[in-house]
Amino acid sequence: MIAHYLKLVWNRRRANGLILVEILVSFLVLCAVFGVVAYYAMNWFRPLGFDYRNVWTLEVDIPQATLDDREQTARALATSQRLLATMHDDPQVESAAPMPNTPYSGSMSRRGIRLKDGSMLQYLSSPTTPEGRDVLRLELVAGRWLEPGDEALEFTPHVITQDMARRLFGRENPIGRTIDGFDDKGQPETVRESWQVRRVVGVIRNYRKSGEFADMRYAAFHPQSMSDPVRSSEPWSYVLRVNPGTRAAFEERLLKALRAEAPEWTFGLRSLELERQRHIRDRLMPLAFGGTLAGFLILMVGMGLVGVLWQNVTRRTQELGLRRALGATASAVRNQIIGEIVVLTVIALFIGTVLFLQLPLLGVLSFVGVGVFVSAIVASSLVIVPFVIACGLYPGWLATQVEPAQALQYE
Amino acid sequence: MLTNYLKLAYKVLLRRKFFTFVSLFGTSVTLLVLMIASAMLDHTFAPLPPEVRLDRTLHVTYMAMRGEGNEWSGSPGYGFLDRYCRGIPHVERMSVFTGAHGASSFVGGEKVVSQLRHTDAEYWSILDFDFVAGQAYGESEVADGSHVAVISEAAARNLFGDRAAVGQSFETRGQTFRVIGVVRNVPRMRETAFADIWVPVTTLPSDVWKTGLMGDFNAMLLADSPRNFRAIRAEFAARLPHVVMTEPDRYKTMSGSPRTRLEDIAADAIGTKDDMPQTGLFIGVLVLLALLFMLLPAINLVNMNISRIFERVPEIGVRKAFGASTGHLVGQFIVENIVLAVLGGAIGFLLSLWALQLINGSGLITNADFQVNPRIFLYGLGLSVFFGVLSGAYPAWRMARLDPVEALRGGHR
Repeated sequence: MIAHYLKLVWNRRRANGLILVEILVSFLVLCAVFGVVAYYAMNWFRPLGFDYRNVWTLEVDIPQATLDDREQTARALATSQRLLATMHDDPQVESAAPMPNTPYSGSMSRRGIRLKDGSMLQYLSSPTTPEGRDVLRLELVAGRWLEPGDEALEFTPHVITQDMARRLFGRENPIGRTIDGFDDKGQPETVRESWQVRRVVGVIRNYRKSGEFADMRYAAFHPQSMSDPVRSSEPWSYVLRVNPGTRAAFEERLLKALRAEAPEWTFGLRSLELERQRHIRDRLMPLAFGGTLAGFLILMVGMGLVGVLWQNVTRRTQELGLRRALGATASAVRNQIIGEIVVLTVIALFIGTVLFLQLPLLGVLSFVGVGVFVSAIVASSLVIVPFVIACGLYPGWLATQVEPAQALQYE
Repeated sequence: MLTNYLKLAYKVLLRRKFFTFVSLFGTSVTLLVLMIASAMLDHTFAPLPPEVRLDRTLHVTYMAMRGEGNEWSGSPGYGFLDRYCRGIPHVERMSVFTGAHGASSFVGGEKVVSQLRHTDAEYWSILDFDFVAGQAYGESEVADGSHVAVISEAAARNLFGDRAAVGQSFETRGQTFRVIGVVRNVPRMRETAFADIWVPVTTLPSDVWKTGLMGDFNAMLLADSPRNFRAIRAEFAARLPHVVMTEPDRYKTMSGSPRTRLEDIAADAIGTKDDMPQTGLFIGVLVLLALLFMLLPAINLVNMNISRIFERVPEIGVRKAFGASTGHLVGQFIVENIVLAVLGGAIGFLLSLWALQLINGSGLITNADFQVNPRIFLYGLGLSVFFGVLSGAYPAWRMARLDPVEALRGGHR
C-alpha cells in the first residue's frame, strides 16, 4: 500500500517536489521555534540555585582616568569598605556583599581555563565576602562556604558549583583539590604567587546567574578582599538582602547615604524581583513574536496546500473516475489522496530531521543538549502530520465526489 | 498590451476566489512583516528629528587603546575628544556628550527613573529638538557649570505632574537642577539624541572626566557635506599618532575612526574587524534574513501558481497556437503575479499602519513614534514587486515551455 503511494508520488515528482520543499521548510521553521521552547522549558524546571526574593542589587560606576593603578585601587577599596558598612547600617538591610555577576544582569566576568584533556572550561568568577551566601541563599552541598580571613590565606579558597565539580573531578571528592590550568601542550600552568593557587573548599548547588531560561552551570566564588589591592580590585556591584516589604523610601535613603560616602561615584539600586520580571519578559517577547510569525507561515502553507491538492484532484478527474468505475470505494479514493500527501510529509520530515540533527552533530550550539533537538523534532512532527492530514481532508472529500461516468467522458 | 495583461489578471483573480484569497493572505502577511522591519530600519538610519543632520554627521563612539597584551576599548574620554578632535577641516560644528544613563529621583516617596545625559552647548545646535517650553542651555551655562536642565515631556510629567515644569527644580544623583526647557519625547532609536534629562557636562561631580583618553563620551562631527567624510577621517587618522598616551608603559597606540550611524549600528550588531565596522557584511546579513523570511511564502506562491497554470492549459495552448511567443506568455504571467503581489502589498501596507500604531502604543520601545513616510511606502512597493517576480518567474517559465499540441489536447503532467 505504502509502496504504491510512493510510486504514485514518484510518478508526479516534479509537482510533488515543490510540495516537499514547502513541507520541509515549514518543518524546519517549526523545529527552530520548538527548539527554543524546549530549551527554555528544560531549563525552567531546574533549580535556580539562589533566592531572588527581597534581594536588591547595587551597581557602582566609578570614574577612572586609568585602569589597574594600585594606589587608586587601594583608595577605591577603602571607599567600598565604607559603602558596605553604610549598607549594613541601614535598618532594612539584613545582609550585603560585593558580587559581580549579579543575577539577571548582563554582566559576566568569566574566566577560561584549559583542562588537562585540552578542552576549555569557562566559568563565572565571582569574588565575594562570607555574607554573599546569606544574601543569595546559596545552598551548600559539601565542604564549607567562604569565611572571614579567607582572603589572606596562602591559597585562594574556591567554592564551586556541583556541575563544575563534576566536570573538573568527575566522581572524586573535590574538596581540597586544586583547579589547575594547562597550556596548549598539556603542561600545568605555573602560578607566580602561591596565593594564586585555586583550592576547592566547598561545593554549592548550581548557581544559575542568567536566570530560569539559561543554562549556566559553571561558577566559582572566592574571597573578595576589602583592603588588599594586590589580590582584589574594587567591587562594582553588590547584592543586598532586605526585610520583606521594603519600598522606594528605602532606596532614596540608602542612595543618599551612599552618595554621602562617595560623592563622585554613581549608584544604581534595583530590585532583583523586578529585574527578574524584566528578564523573563525580554526572553518571552521575541519567542512570542517568532511563534506568531511561524504560526502565520504555517497557516499560509496549509491554505496553499489545500489549494494545490484541490487543483490536483480536479486535474486527476480521469484517473480518479477510472478507479471509481473499476470499483474503488469512496474511502479508498480519499485515502489515496491523503495517503499520498502523508507519504510526502514523511519524506520531508526525514530529510528535515537529518538536516536539523546536523546542528548538534557539527557541534554548533554545543551548549544545547541533544534532548532539546530531539524534543523539537518530535513536537514539530506531531504538529505537522495532523496538520497536513487536515489540509488533505477537503480535497480528499472532493475526490470522492467524482462521478465515474462524468470522468470517463471527459476526453 | 499592458492593459490587456491587467484585464486578464483581474479576470483570473476573480475566477478562483479561494486561490486569490490564499495568495493575498500570504503576500500581505509577508509584506506586512517586511514593511514593519523596514519602517524600524528607516527610523534607525534616516535623519529624523531631532537628528535632522544625521546624513552629514560622523560620530566618535568607539576607540581602542592598545599596548603589549593590554587593550582598553570602548567610548573615548573627554580628554581625547577635546584635545585631539577639535578643529578638523570640513567639520562645521562639534559636540561632546555622554551616553544616556539611568538616574533616579524620588517624588513623594515614588521612584522615577530617567535617562540622564551630560552635554555641551553645541549639542543643541547640531540636533533640532522640538521645544515645548523654555530653551536650551548655552555656552555661558556650560562654562559656569550651572545646574540647569532640559527635560522631556515624559520626565516633566513624572517629576512635576501637570504643573508647568520650567522654573521648577528636581533632585537626581544627589544634585539639584533647575528646569529651563522642556522638549518633546525622543524615541529610543535616535541614539545620540535620546534621553529624558539633559544637563551641562560641567555638572559632572568629579574632575576625572576632563582628562581621560577613554571614558564615557561620544562626539558628533557635523561635516559641511557627506562628500568630505573621507577627508575628515583621514585627518582624524593623521592625528592619532600624536596622541600623548597617559600610561605609555601600558598602552602605546590609539585607534578608531569616526563613524556614520549605519557603521555604528553595524559594529554593534556584528562587531568590528581591525577596528573597522563591517558595514557590507551587516547589510548582507539583513538582506539574507529578508530573503530567508520570504523563502517559504515564495515557495508557497510558486506552488499554487504552478497548480493554476494547469487550470489554464487550454488557454495557453490556444495562445501558443495563434503565435504568442514565450516572452509574451512569461510577461503576461509575471504581470499577473506582480498585480497580485502589489495588491497584497497594499493590504500589507494598510495593516502595517495599524501594526506600527500598536507598537508605538505598546511602550516596548521607549517613545517609539514609527510613522510611515513616502520612503517606506517605496520600500514596500519595491519589496512587493520583487516578491511578485520571485514567485512568478519559475511558474512563468514552466508555462511558457508547455507544448502547444499537448496543451490544446488538455494534456497534463
